[in-house]
Amino acid sequence: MSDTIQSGPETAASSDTPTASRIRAATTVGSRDVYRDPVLLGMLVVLPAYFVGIWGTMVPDAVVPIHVATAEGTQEIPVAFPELMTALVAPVTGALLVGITGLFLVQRSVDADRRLTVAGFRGVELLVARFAILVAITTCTVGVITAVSLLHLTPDHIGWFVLGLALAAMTYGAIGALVGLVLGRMAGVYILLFAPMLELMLLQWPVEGTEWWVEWHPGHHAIQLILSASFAPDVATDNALWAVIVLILAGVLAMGANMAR
Amino acid sequence: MTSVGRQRAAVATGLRTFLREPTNLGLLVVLPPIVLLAFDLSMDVVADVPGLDVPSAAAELGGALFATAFLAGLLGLFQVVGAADPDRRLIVCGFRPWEMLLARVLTIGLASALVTGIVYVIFLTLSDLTPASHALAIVSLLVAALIYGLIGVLIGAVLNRELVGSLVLVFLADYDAFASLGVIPMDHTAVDYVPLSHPSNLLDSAVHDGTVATADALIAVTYVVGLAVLTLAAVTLRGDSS
Repeated sequence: MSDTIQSGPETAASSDTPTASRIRAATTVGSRDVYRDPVLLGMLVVLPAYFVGIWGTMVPDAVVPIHVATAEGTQEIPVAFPELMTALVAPVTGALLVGITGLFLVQRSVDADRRLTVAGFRGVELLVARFAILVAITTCTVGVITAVSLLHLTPDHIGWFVLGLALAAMTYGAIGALVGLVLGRMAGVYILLFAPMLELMLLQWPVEGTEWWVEWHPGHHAIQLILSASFAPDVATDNALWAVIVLILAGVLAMGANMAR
Repeated sequence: MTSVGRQRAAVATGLRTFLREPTNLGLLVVLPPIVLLAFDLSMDVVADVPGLDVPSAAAELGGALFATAFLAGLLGLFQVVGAADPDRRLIVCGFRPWEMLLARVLTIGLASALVTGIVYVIFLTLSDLTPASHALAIVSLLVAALIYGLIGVLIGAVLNRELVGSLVLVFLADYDAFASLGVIPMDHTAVDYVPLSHPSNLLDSAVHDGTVATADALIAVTYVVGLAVLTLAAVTLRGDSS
Protein backbone atom coordinates (compact mmCIF):
# COMPACT_ATOMS: atom_id res chain seq x y z
CA MET A 1 0.00 0.00 0.00
CA SER A 2 1.70 3.14 -1.09
CA ASP A 3 0.99 6.38 0.67
CA THR A 4 -1.00 7.75 -2.24
CA ILE A 5 -4.56 8.94 -1.82
CA GLN A 6 -7.04 6.34 -2.98
CA SER A 7 -9.49 7.22 -5.67
CA GLY A 8 -13.06 6.05 -5.68
CA PRO A 9 -14.29 3.29 -7.98
CA GLU A 10 -14.37 4.18 -11.62
CA THR A 11 -17.95 3.03 -11.99
CA ALA A 12 -20.52 4.82 -9.90
CA ALA A 13 -22.43 2.56 -7.60
CA SER A 14 -25.92 3.58 -6.65
CA SER A 15 -27.79 2.13 -3.69
CA ASP A 16 -29.66 -0.35 -5.94
CA THR A 17 -26.44 -1.93 -7.20
CA PRO A 18 -26.15 -5.54 -6.01
CA THR A 19 -24.06 -5.96 -2.87
CA ALA A 20 -21.67 -8.37 -4.58
CA SER A 21 -20.71 -5.90 -7.27
CA ARG A 22 -20.17 -3.13 -4.71
CA ILE A 23 -17.90 -5.43 -2.70
CA ARG A 24 -16.06 -6.36 -5.91
CA ALA A 25 -15.58 -2.68 -6.80
CA ALA A 26 -14.31 -1.78 -3.33
CA THR A 27 -11.99 -4.80 -3.33
CA THR A 28 -10.58 -3.85 -6.75
CA VAL A 29 -9.89 -0.28 -5.62
CA GLY A 30 -8.29 -1.38 -2.36
CA SER A 31 -6.20 -4.13 -3.91
CA ARG A 32 -4.60 -1.68 -6.37
CA ASP A 33 -2.79 -0.12 -3.42
CA VAL A 34 -1.19 -3.49 -2.71
CA TYR A 35 -0.25 -4.79 -6.15
CA ARG A 36 1.01 -1.39 -7.32
CA ASP A 37 3.53 -1.33 -4.48
CA PRO A 38 6.43 -3.62 -5.45
CA VAL A 39 8.27 -2.90 -2.18
CA LEU A 40 5.31 -4.14 -0.14
CA LEU A 41 4.89 -7.20 -2.37
CA GLY A 42 8.60 -7.91 -1.98
CA MET A 43 8.36 -7.60 1.79
CA LEU A 44 5.42 -10.02 1.90
CA VAL A 45 7.78 -12.61 0.39
CA VAL A 46 11.17 -11.66 1.84
CA LEU A 47 10.18 -11.11 5.48
CA PRO A 48 8.51 -14.50 6.09
CA ALA A 49 11.33 -16.25 4.24
CA TYR A 50 13.94 -14.52 6.41
CA PHE A 51 12.07 -14.93 9.69
CA VAL A 52 11.10 -18.60 9.39
CA GLY A 53 14.40 -19.48 7.74
CA ILE A 54 16.59 -17.85 10.37
CA TRP A 55 14.89 -19.61 13.28
CA GLY A 56 15.08 -23.01 11.72
CA THR A 57 18.78 -22.47 11.08
CA MET A 58 19.95 -20.94 14.35
CA VAL A 59 18.51 -23.18 17.05
CA PRO A 60 20.49 -26.22 18.28
CA ASP A 61 19.72 -29.64 16.89
CA ALA A 62 18.39 -31.08 20.16
CA VAL A 63 15.34 -33.24 20.87
CA VAL A 64 12.68 -31.87 23.21
CA PRO A 65 9.56 -33.57 24.58
CA ILE A 66 6.34 -31.64 23.91
CA HIS A 67 2.66 -32.22 24.65
CA VAL A 68 0.61 -32.40 21.45
CA ALA A 69 -3.15 -32.71 20.98
CA THR A 70 -4.04 -35.83 18.98
CA ALA A 71 -7.32 -37.46 17.99
CA GLU A 72 -6.96 -39.69 21.10
CA GLY A 73 -6.10 -36.90 23.53
CA THR A 74 -2.83 -35.25 24.49
CA GLN A 75 0.40 -37.19 23.99
CA GLU A 76 4.01 -36.49 24.90
CA ILE A 77 6.05 -36.65 21.69
CA PRO A 78 9.82 -36.06 21.36
CA VAL A 79 10.54 -33.68 18.47
CA ALA A 80 13.62 -32.02 16.97
CA PHE A 81 14.04 -28.49 18.33
CA PRO A 82 14.44 -26.83 14.87
CA GLU A 83 11.20 -28.51 13.77
CA LEU A 84 9.36 -27.33 16.87
CA MET A 85 10.64 -23.76 16.45
CA THR A 86 9.60 -23.77 12.80
CA ALA A 87 6.11 -24.97 13.73
CA LEU A 88 5.83 -22.15 16.29
CA VAL A 89 7.50 -19.36 14.31
CA ALA A 90 5.47 -20.01 11.13
CA PRO A 91 2.13 -18.88 12.64
CA VAL A 92 3.84 -15.98 14.45
CA THR A 93 5.15 -14.77 11.08
CA GLY A 94 1.73 -14.98 9.45
CA ALA A 95 0.08 -13.26 12.41
CA LEU A 96 2.61 -10.40 12.35
CA LEU A 97 2.33 -9.79 8.61
CA VAL A 98 -1.42 -10.12 8.22
CA GLY A 99 -2.18 -8.44 11.55
CA ILE A 100 -0.17 -5.31 10.78
CA THR A 101 -1.39 -5.23 7.18
CA GLY A 102 -4.98 -5.48 8.46
CA LEU A 103 -4.38 -2.57 10.79
CA PHE A 104 -3.03 -0.36 7.99
CA LEU A 105 -5.69 -1.50 5.53
CA VAL A 106 -8.44 -0.27 7.81
CA GLN A 107 -6.62 2.90 8.88
CA ARG A 108 -5.66 3.91 5.35
CA SER A 109 -9.11 3.37 3.94
CA VAL A 110 -10.91 5.79 6.28
CA ASP A 111 -11.07 8.69 3.79
CA ALA A 112 -11.78 6.51 0.77
CA ASP A 113 -14.51 4.67 2.70
CA ARG A 114 -16.22 7.96 3.56
CA ARG A 115 -16.35 8.84 -0.13
CA LEU A 116 -17.61 5.37 -1.03
CA THR A 117 -20.29 5.61 1.67
CA VAL A 118 -21.51 8.85 0.06
CA ALA A 119 -21.58 6.95 -3.26
CA GLY A 120 -23.96 4.39 -1.74
CA PHE A 121 -21.64 1.72 -0.32
CA ARG A 122 -22.50 0.21 3.07
CA GLY A 123 -20.00 -0.05 5.93
CA VAL A 124 -20.27 -3.84 6.09
CA GLU A 125 -19.64 -4.12 2.33
CA LEU A 126 -16.48 -2.05 2.66
CA LEU A 127 -15.22 -4.14 5.58
CA VAL A 128 -15.93 -7.35 3.65
CA ALA A 129 -13.89 -5.88 0.79
CA ARG A 130 -10.99 -5.21 3.20
CA PHE A 131 -11.21 -8.79 4.48
CA ALA A 132 -11.18 -10.06 0.89
CA ILE A 133 -7.89 -8.22 0.36
CA LEU A 134 -6.60 -9.65 3.64
CA VAL A 135 -7.54 -13.16 2.47
CA ALA A 136 -5.50 -12.62 -0.70
CA ILE A 137 -2.53 -11.35 1.32
CA THR A 138 -2.93 -14.29 3.73
CA THR A 139 -2.91 -16.75 0.82
CA CYS A 140 0.31 -15.29 -0.53
CA THR A 141 1.94 -15.11 2.91
CA VAL A 142 0.91 -18.63 3.95
CA GLY A 143 2.23 -19.97 0.65
CA VAL A 144 5.67 -18.45 1.28
CA ILE A 145 5.70 -19.50 4.95
CA THR A 146 4.75 -23.08 4.05
CA ALA A 147 7.45 -23.28 1.39
CA VAL A 148 10.15 -22.02 3.78
CA SER A 149 8.85 -24.16 6.66
CA LEU A 150 9.27 -27.29 4.55
CA LEU A 151 13.04 -26.66 4.58
CA HIS A 152 13.12 -27.43 8.31
CA LEU A 153 9.89 -29.30 9.01
CA THR A 154 7.92 -32.04 7.27
CA PRO A 155 4.40 -31.94 8.72
CA ASP A 156 2.69 -35.31 8.97
CA HIS A 157 -0.56 -33.70 7.75
CA ILE A 158 0.33 -30.76 5.53
CA GLY A 159 -3.24 -29.80 4.64
CA TRP A 160 -4.18 -29.28 8.30
CA PHE A 161 -0.85 -27.49 8.85
CA VAL A 162 -1.62 -24.97 6.08
CA LEU A 163 -5.18 -24.53 7.39
CA GLY A 164 -3.79 -23.83 10.88
CA LEU A 165 -1.40 -21.22 9.47
CA ALA A 166 -4.19 -19.53 7.54
CA LEU A 167 -6.50 -19.48 10.58
CA ALA A 168 -3.79 -18.01 12.85
CA ALA A 169 -2.92 -15.36 10.26
CA MET A 170 -6.54 -14.42 9.50
CA THR A 171 -7.45 -14.29 13.20
CA TYR A 172 -4.68 -11.78 13.78
CA GLY A 173 -5.69 -10.00 10.58
CA ALA A 174 -9.14 -9.48 12.10
CA ILE A 175 -7.52 -8.41 15.39
CA GLY A 176 -5.32 -5.99 13.44
CA ALA A 177 -8.38 -4.52 11.74
CA LEU A 178 -10.11 -4.20 15.11
CA VAL A 179 -7.05 -2.52 16.67
CA GLY A 180 -6.85 -0.23 13.64
CA LEU A 181 -10.45 0.86 14.19
CA VAL A 182 -9.94 1.55 17.90
CA LEU A 183 -6.36 2.83 18.22
CA GLY A 184 -3.87 4.92 16.26
CA ARG A 185 -1.33 3.38 13.89
CA MET A 186 1.67 3.64 16.20
CA ALA A 187 -0.14 2.20 19.22
CA GLY A 188 -1.59 -0.52 17.01
CA VAL A 189 1.78 -1.55 15.59
CA TYR A 190 3.26 -1.52 19.11
CA ILE A 191 0.56 -3.92 20.33
CA LEU A 192 0.85 -6.14 17.26
CA LEU A 193 4.63 -6.22 17.62
CA PHE A 194 4.36 -7.98 20.98
CA ALA A 195 1.02 -9.81 20.91
CA PRO A 196 1.74 -12.59 18.37
CA MET A 197 5.24 -13.15 19.74
CA LEU A 198 4.16 -13.41 23.38
CA GLU A 199 0.93 -15.28 22.75
CA LEU A 200 1.74 -17.70 19.94
CA MET A 201 5.35 -18.40 20.83
CA LEU A 202 5.53 -18.26 24.63
CA LEU A 203 2.06 -18.61 26.14
CA GLN A 204 1.15 -21.43 23.74
CA TRP A 205 4.41 -23.34 24.27
CA PRO A 206 3.34 -27.02 24.25
CA VAL A 207 3.82 -27.99 27.89
CA GLU A 208 1.80 -30.20 30.19
CA GLY A 209 -0.72 -28.54 32.47
CA THR A 210 -1.24 -25.32 30.54
CA GLU A 211 -3.07 -22.68 32.58
CA TRP A 212 -6.81 -22.56 31.82
CA TRP A 213 -6.70 -18.90 30.75
CA VAL A 214 -4.11 -19.65 28.05
CA GLU A 215 -6.78 -21.67 26.21
CA TRP A 216 -8.93 -18.55 25.92
CA HIS A 217 -6.35 -16.65 23.87
CA PRO A 218 -7.15 -16.11 20.17
CA GLY A 219 -4.30 -18.20 18.78
CA HIS A 220 -4.64 -21.23 21.06
CA HIS A 221 -6.64 -23.56 18.80
CA ALA A 222 -4.77 -22.58 15.64
CA ILE A 223 -1.44 -23.38 17.34
CA GLN A 224 -2.82 -26.67 18.68
CA LEU A 225 -3.93 -27.56 15.15
CA ILE A 226 -0.52 -26.67 13.67
CA LEU A 227 1.39 -28.70 16.28
CA SER A 228 -1.02 -31.61 15.90
CA ALA A 229 -0.70 -31.50 12.10
CA SER A 230 3.09 -31.33 12.39
CA PHE A 231 3.82 -34.03 14.95
CA ALA A 232 0.75 -36.12 15.89
CA PRO A 233 -0.09 -39.44 14.22
CA ASP A 234 -3.77 -38.36 14.06
CA VAL A 235 -4.83 -34.70 13.93
CA ALA A 236 -7.01 -33.26 16.68
CA THR A 237 -9.45 -31.80 14.15
CA ASP A 238 -11.76 -30.28 16.77
CA ASN A 239 -9.18 -27.51 17.09
CA ALA A 240 -9.90 -26.52 13.47
CA LEU A 241 -13.56 -25.98 14.32
CA TRP A 242 -12.73 -23.94 17.41
CA ALA A 243 -10.16 -21.89 15.50
CA VAL A 244 -12.78 -21.09 12.83
CA ILE A 245 -15.20 -20.00 15.58
CA VAL A 246 -12.51 -17.73 17.07
CA LEU A 247 -11.86 -16.26 13.60
CA ILE A 248 -15.58 -15.58 13.08
CA LEU A 249 -15.80 -13.94 16.52
CA ALA A 250 -12.80 -11.72 15.76
CA GLY A 251 -14.34 -10.80 12.40
CA VAL A 252 -17.70 -10.00 13.97
CA LEU A 253 -15.98 -7.82 16.58
CA ALA A 254 -14.12 -5.94 13.83
CA MET A 255 -17.36 -5.47 11.89
CA GLY A 256 -19.11 -4.25 15.04
CA ALA A 257 -16.36 -1.72 15.69
CA ASN A 258 -16.54 -0.62 12.06
CA MET A 259 -20.30 -0.07 12.24
CA ALA A 260 -19.97 1.77 15.56
CA ARG A 261 -17.42 4.06 13.91
CA MET B 1 16.11 32.97 13.76
CA THR B 2 19.33 31.37 15.09
CA SER B 3 20.14 27.67 14.73
CA VAL B 4 19.34 27.06 18.41
CA GLY B 5 16.03 28.89 18.02
CA ARG B 6 15.14 26.84 14.97
CA GLN B 7 15.99 23.64 16.85
CA ARG B 8 13.82 24.63 19.78
CA ALA B 9 10.92 25.52 17.49
CA ALA B 10 11.19 22.26 15.53
CA VAL B 11 11.40 20.09 18.68
CA ALA B 12 8.55 21.94 20.37
CA THR B 13 6.37 21.56 17.26
CA GLY B 14 7.22 17.86 16.97
CA LEU B 15 6.41 17.20 20.62
CA ARG B 16 3.20 19.25 20.51
CA THR B 17 2.01 17.39 17.41
CA PHE B 18 2.77 14.05 19.02
CA LEU B 19 1.31 14.77 22.46
CA ARG B 20 -1.85 16.34 21.02
CA GLU B 21 -3.09 12.86 20.06
CA PRO B 22 -4.73 11.10 23.04
CA THR B 23 -3.78 7.67 21.65
CA ASN B 24 -0.13 8.73 21.60
CA LEU B 25 -0.30 9.68 25.27
CA GLY B 26 -1.77 6.26 25.95
CA LEU B 27 1.01 4.72 23.90
CA LEU B 28 3.65 6.43 26.03
CA VAL B 29 2.11 5.92 29.44
CA VAL B 30 -0.17 2.88 29.32
CA LEU B 31 1.21 0.40 26.79
CA PRO B 32 4.82 -0.04 28.03
CA PRO B 33 3.67 -1.20 31.48
CA ILE B 34 1.19 -3.59 29.82
CA VAL B 35 4.00 -5.03 27.71
CA LEU B 36 6.14 -5.45 30.82
CA LEU B 37 3.33 -7.30 32.59
CA ALA B 38 2.69 -9.46 29.51
CA PHE B 39 6.39 -10.39 29.38
CA ASP B 40 6.27 -11.34 33.04
CA LEU B 41 3.21 -13.52 32.50
CA SER B 42 4.61 -15.19 29.38
CA MET B 43 7.95 -15.97 31.01
CA ASP B 44 6.16 -17.54 33.97
CA VAL B 45 4.53 -20.00 31.57
CA VAL B 46 7.81 -21.12 29.98
CA ALA B 47 10.01 -20.85 33.08
CA ASP B 48 9.93 -24.59 33.81
CA VAL B 49 10.06 -25.87 30.23
CA PRO B 50 12.91 -28.34 29.78
CA GLY B 51 15.36 -27.17 27.13
CA LEU B 52 14.52 -23.49 27.51
CA ASP B 53 16.91 -21.25 29.36
CA VAL B 54 15.05 -18.56 31.24
CA PRO B 55 17.65 -16.55 33.14
CA SER B 56 16.88 -15.09 36.54
CA ALA B 57 14.82 -11.89 36.22
CA ALA B 58 14.85 -12.26 32.43
CA ALA B 59 11.18 -11.35 32.19
CA GLU B 60 11.44 -8.06 34.05
CA LEU B 61 14.73 -7.01 32.47
CA GLY B 62 13.74 -8.12 28.98
CA GLY B 63 10.31 -6.56 29.24
CA ALA B 64 11.75 -3.24 30.40
CA LEU B 65 14.40 -3.24 27.67
CA PHE B 66 12.07 -4.13 24.80
CA ALA B 67 9.13 -2.01 25.92
CA THR B 68 11.45 1.01 25.89
CA ALA B 69 13.56 0.25 22.83
CA PHE B 70 10.82 -0.79 20.44
CA LEU B 71 8.66 2.18 21.32
CA ALA B 72 11.60 4.44 20.49
CA GLY B 73 11.98 2.58 17.20
CA LEU B 74 8.36 3.16 16.28
CA LEU B 75 8.62 6.82 17.31
CA GLY B 76 11.64 7.17 15.03
CA LEU B 77 9.92 5.53 12.08
CA PHE B 78 6.63 7.40 12.36
CA GLN B 79 8.30 10.73 13.15
CA VAL B 80 10.40 10.60 10.00
CA VAL B 81 7.72 9.28 7.63
CA GLY B 82 4.93 11.40 9.09
CA ALA B 83 6.98 14.59 9.19
CA ALA B 84 8.52 14.28 5.72
CA ASP B 85 6.23 16.86 4.07
CA PRO B 86 6.21 19.43 6.94
CA ASP B 87 10.00 19.09 7.16
CA ARG B 88 10.37 19.86 3.44
CA ARG B 89 8.24 22.98 3.90
CA LEU B 90 10.38 24.06 6.86
CA ILE B 91 13.53 23.54 4.77
CA VAL B 92 12.03 25.86 2.14
CA CYS B 93 11.49 28.38 4.99
CA GLY B 94 15.20 28.33 5.86
CA PHE B 95 15.64 25.34 8.17
CA ARG B 96 18.64 23.14 7.34
CA PRO B 97 18.15 19.37 6.70
CA TRP B 98 20.53 18.34 9.48
CA GLU B 99 18.64 20.63 11.86
CA MET B 100 15.39 18.87 10.98
CA LEU B 101 16.98 15.46 11.48
CA LEU B 102 18.48 16.57 14.81
CA ALA B 103 15.09 17.94 15.86
CA ARG B 104 13.45 14.59 15.11
CA VAL B 105 16.14 12.69 17.02
CA LEU B 106 15.84 15.11 19.98
CA THR B 107 12.05 14.66 19.99
CA ILE B 108 12.46 10.88 19.99
CA GLY B 109 15.10 11.22 22.73
CA LEU B 110 12.79 13.26 24.98
CA ALA B 111 9.86 10.88 24.43
CA SER B 112 12.16 7.89 25.05
CA ALA B 113 13.43 9.45 28.29
CA LEU B 114 9.82 9.79 29.45
CA VAL B 115 9.05 6.16 28.54
CA THR B 116 12.28 4.99 30.19
CA GLY B 117 11.27 6.70 33.42
CA ILE B 118 7.78 5.16 33.37
CA VAL B 119 9.05 1.69 32.48
CA TYR B 120 11.78 1.83 35.11
CA VAL B 121 9.30 2.69 37.86
CA ILE B 122 7.05 -0.21 36.76
CA PHE B 123 10.08 -2.50 36.63
CA LEU B 124 11.03 -1.57 40.21
CA THR B 125 7.46 -2.19 41.31
CA LEU B 126 7.16 -5.60 39.62
CA SER B 127 10.60 -7.02 40.20
CA ASP B 128 12.03 -8.56 43.35
CA LEU B 129 15.42 -7.30 42.21
CA THR B 130 16.97 -4.22 43.74
CA PRO B 131 19.23 -2.80 41.02
CA ALA B 132 22.82 -2.36 42.17
CA SER B 133 23.02 0.91 40.23
CA HIS B 134 19.88 2.81 39.27
CA ALA B 135 21.81 5.33 37.18
CA LEU B 136 23.56 2.67 35.09
CA ALA B 137 20.35 0.73 34.60
CA ILE B 138 18.54 3.83 33.35
CA VAL B 139 21.45 4.72 31.04
CA SER B 140 21.36 1.15 29.64
CA LEU B 141 17.66 1.51 28.85
CA LEU B 142 18.30 4.89 27.22
CA VAL B 143 21.10 3.44 25.08
CA ALA B 144 18.71 0.70 23.92
CA ALA B 145 16.08 3.33 23.14
CA LEU B 146 18.61 5.46 21.24
CA ILE B 147 19.76 2.48 19.14
CA TYR B 148 16.22 1.55 18.16
CA GLY B 149 15.17 5.16 17.74
CA LEU B 150 17.95 5.56 15.16
CA ILE B 151 17.02 2.25 13.51
CA GLY B 152 13.45 3.54 13.19
CA VAL B 153 14.66 6.83 11.70
CA LEU B 154 16.93 4.95 9.30
CA ILE B 155 14.14 2.61 8.14
CA GLY B 156 11.81 5.59 7.76
CA ALA B 157 14.38 7.56 5.77
CA VAL B 158 15.15 4.64 3.44
CA LEU B 159 11.66 3.21 2.87
CA ASN B 160 9.54 6.33 3.51
CA ARG B 161 6.44 4.16 4.00
CA GLU B 162 4.71 3.49 7.31
CA LEU B 163 3.39 -0.01 6.52
CA VAL B 164 6.52 -1.45 4.95
CA GLY B 165 8.69 0.31 7.52
CA SER B 166 6.56 -1.08 10.36
CA LEU B 167 6.86 -4.60 8.97
CA VAL B 168 10.65 -4.37 8.66
CA LEU B 169 10.99 -2.90 12.16
CA VAL B 170 8.66 -5.47 13.72
CA PHE B 171 10.44 -8.45 12.18
CA LEU B 172 13.83 -7.10 13.23
CA ALA B 173 12.55 -6.29 16.74
CA ASP B 174 10.87 -9.63 17.34
CA TYR B 175 13.95 -11.57 16.31
CA ASP B 176 16.13 -9.24 18.38
CA ALA B 177 13.91 -9.75 21.44
CA PHE B 178 14.40 -13.50 21.51
CA ALA B 179 18.01 -13.48 20.37
CA SER B 180 19.23 -10.96 22.94
CA LEU B 181 17.07 -12.27 25.78
CA GLY B 182 18.55 -15.76 25.46
CA VAL B 183 15.31 -17.61 26.27
CA ILE B 184 15.47 -19.70 23.11
CA PRO B 185 18.90 -21.39 22.94
CA MET B 186 20.77 -20.51 19.75
CA ASP B 187 24.13 -21.76 18.63
CA HIS B 188 25.22 -19.05 16.24
CA THR B 189 27.67 -16.15 16.64
CA ALA B 190 25.28 -13.82 14.77
CA VAL B 191 23.21 -13.66 17.96
CA ASP B 192 25.98 -11.59 19.58
CA TYR B 193 25.52 -8.83 17.01
CA VAL B 194 21.78 -8.14 17.16
CA PRO B 195 21.15 -4.50 18.15
CA LEU B 196 19.95 -5.15 21.70
CA SER B 197 22.47 -7.84 22.63
CA HIS B 198 24.94 -5.41 24.23
CA PRO B 199 22.43 -3.03 25.86
CA SER B 200 20.90 -6.19 27.33
CA ASN B 201 24.29 -7.16 28.79
CA LEU B 202 24.77 -3.60 30.05
CA LEU B 203 21.41 -3.66 31.79
CA ASP B 204 22.16 -7.06 33.28
CA SER B 205 25.51 -5.97 34.75
CA ALA B 206 24.05 -2.65 35.94
CA VAL B 207 21.22 -4.39 37.79
CA HIS B 208 23.17 -7.32 39.22
CA ASP B 209 26.67 -5.88 39.84
CA GLY B 210 26.38 -2.13 39.43
CA THR B 211 29.24 -2.23 36.94
CA VAL B 212 29.75 -1.30 33.29
CA ALA B 213 30.94 -4.03 30.96
CA THR B 214 33.49 -2.03 28.95
CA ALA B 215 33.36 -4.19 25.81
CA ASP B 216 29.56 -4.07 25.71
CA ALA B 217 29.58 -0.31 26.28
CA LEU B 218 32.05 0.21 23.43
CA ILE B 219 30.06 -1.93 21.00
CA ALA B 220 26.80 -0.23 22.00
CA VAL B 221 28.35 3.22 21.44
CA THR B 222 29.74 1.99 18.10
CA TYR B 223 26.21 0.94 17.16
CA VAL B 224 24.87 4.40 18.02
CA VAL B 225 27.60 6.21 16.06
CA GLY B 226 27.32 3.85 13.09
CA LEU B 227 23.53 4.19 12.96
CA ALA B 228 23.78 7.99 13.28
CA VAL B 229 26.19 8.12 10.30
CA LEU B 230 23.99 5.78 8.22
CA THR B 231 20.88 7.81 9.08
CA LEU B 232 22.52 11.09 8.12
CA ALA B 233 23.69 9.53 4.85
CA ALA B 234 20.20 8.15 4.13
CA VAL B 235 18.53 11.50 4.80
CA THR B 236 21.10 13.30 2.63
CA LEU B 237 20.76 10.81 -0.23
CA ARG B 238 16.97 10.98 -0.02
CA GLY B 239 17.31 14.54 -1.17
CA ASP B 240 16.34 16.40 1.98
CA SER B 241 19.55 18.34 1.75
CA SER B 242 18.76 19.76 -1.63
